[in-house]
Amino acid sequence: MDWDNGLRALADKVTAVAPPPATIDLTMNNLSSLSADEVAGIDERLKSELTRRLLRLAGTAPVDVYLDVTLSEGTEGYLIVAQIRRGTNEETAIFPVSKGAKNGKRSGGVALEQQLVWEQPGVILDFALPPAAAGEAPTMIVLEPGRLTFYARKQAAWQIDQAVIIPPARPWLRAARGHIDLSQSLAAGRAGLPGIECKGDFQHPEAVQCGFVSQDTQPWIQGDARVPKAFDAGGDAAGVSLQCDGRPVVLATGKEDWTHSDFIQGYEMEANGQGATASGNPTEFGGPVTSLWWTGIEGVARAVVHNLKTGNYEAYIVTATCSQ
Amino acid sequence: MSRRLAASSAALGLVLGLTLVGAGRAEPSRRPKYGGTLRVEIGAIVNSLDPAAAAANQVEAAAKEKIGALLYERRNADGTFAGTAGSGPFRIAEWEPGKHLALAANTGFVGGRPFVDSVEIQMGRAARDRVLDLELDKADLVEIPPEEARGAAERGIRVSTSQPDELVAVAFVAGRPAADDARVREALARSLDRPAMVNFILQRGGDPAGGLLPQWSSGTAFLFSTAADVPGAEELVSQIGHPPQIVLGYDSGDSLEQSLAERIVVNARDAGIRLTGQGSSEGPSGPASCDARLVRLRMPSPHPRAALVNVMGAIGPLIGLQLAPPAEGASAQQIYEVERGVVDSYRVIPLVWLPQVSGVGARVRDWKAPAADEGWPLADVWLEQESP
Repeated sequence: MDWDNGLRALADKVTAVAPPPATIDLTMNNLSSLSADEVAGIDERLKSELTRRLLRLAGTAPVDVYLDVTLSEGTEGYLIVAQIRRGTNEETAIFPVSKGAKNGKRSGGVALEQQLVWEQPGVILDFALPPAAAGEAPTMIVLEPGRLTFYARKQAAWQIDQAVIIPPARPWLRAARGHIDLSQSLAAGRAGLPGIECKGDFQHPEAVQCGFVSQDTQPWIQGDARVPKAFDAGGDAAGVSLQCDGRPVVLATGKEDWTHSDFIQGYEMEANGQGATASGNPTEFGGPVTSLWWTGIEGVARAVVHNLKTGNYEAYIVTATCSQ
Repeated sequence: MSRRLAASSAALGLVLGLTLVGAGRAEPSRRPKYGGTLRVEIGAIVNSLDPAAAAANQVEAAAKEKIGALLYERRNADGTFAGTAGSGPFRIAEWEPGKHLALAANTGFVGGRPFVDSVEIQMGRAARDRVLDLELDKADLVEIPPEEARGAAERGIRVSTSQPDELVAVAFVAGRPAADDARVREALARSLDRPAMVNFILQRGGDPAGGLLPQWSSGTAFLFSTAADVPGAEELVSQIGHPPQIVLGYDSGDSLEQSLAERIVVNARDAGIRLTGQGSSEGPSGPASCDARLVRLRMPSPHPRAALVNVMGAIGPLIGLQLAPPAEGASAQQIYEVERGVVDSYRVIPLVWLPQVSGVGARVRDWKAPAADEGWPLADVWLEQESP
């Protein structure tokens, strides 16, 4: 259930308890991680739903119904908890609201927007969203420690199409990293883990072959080559082939270890590549960003986040634009 | 290239890759490193690692559970460990029952080789000694009682605190005459000053509990009052006339339980309820003469339905619970109503929520306080430098 449906269900409940033109004394509390602005928006929408049902919002007595609404939060999402009191009768109604990704704010400089495209309990090392051919269903490729999975978008959901099993060179290293490279073309795709590479026509996964390679042939292990060597924000970084006022933009994670929530910050590089300035607001995530790469589209990066609250791995598209 | 040669090349590549990291562009320091021995100290004395062997008390049972999660690859649906010891991230290298356990990294673990080469677990260490060893860099990871967490942090110790996931509650024993009258149970519930228990006994190392699920899990704990209502308790006592004497049992080996029991006696007396505490070393079952017992219940899951089902299963037989647990797929409303039904029976009185507190050494990286359904994440931690 989303906020609109939750608030409508609450308004219907109140209407059932106190038919119009009852007078409602509404109090809104927040015990969740929602910001004051978000709570104010929800408060306005609830008032709108109530007045649309011809209920009157009380400024003074007499009051027919006291409605205490608390926006709360548990492991399974947000909750709208309503305590509805009419005379000596009180009842509690609870409406769950699922969580969605929050968007970053823009305030000049490099503006960042994040879009959650996929999440799963298992480890994601990297993912890719190749451009869909005309008339073809969109596809998504997810690289995991032992598998390269190809998804197709069917009936508004990602469904597994095929999977290529990646044989381990040795028991999987816990620190395994991975990288999907479609820079040549989808037909000449590569997906690598340290010491292993799967390559072939990614439009025909059954033809993809995995084998052992020397890590000397895997330059991605050293990080994104587009990022100037002098740049070091402490974490991972990716050039995104975007320039703001002639300055190349680099996106970088925070520097905390993987037990902390994380963010991606835009940086504008000096022309000589020797200096960088944080630009715009960071976009924040509920866990460490474990992978950050350019998608090949100007200003667009892909990021994998290990959400510390849900335990899931999340795949995000992060879009950088130059704000005015 | 032959398969054998390719494999050798890959192995060489792995070595080269790890070496080149330092030689090329600087690898971010947050990238994990392999090696070293993690030194752990716990208070529990574990005498058997056999999952089938009964633990002497709740403390040993909890420690066995944590160690078992390091030794076994996975669990069965009923929560028991599956497979053989050593199929998990670690295998037993040395074992002196009740004293010392050395674990070695399982290089073949399907979930990936742990970062550390080995783990040394010293058992039966007193809380004060554990903290001291951490400060003297003789230990990397120690358990800290929740009531000592604040003091440890003030001394500069790196303290890791989980979400509060262990409930301490008073459970009335079914069939005991003193617990028969619901007004007696309600009067005791109203008399309790939970915030004072948290502030003074736990030194703010916990939360007052009004319900059977914590706020972070259910999102509805705020609907259960934790405030004392002494006038309400006195009113109920006056209705009863001559309230029966209640005997409250607790584990005499658990200093926290003893402190809480003493506080409950004081709160009850202030409301006119006759209650005495009775310590026992008989473990969680306690002596048969008790009308009520202090119980400690660790959440096996962060999800509210699963956690409530577990609580009801654990204390149901003791308190003679008649309510059915929430069904699979129950809504937040339904879960709340079941929880409300149990709490309003006053057969169990929630007191406080406790977190799992650990002191973490400076060289330990990627330690994350375990969630309610997780054991020690020792396979995920790595050490900034080798053991001294």
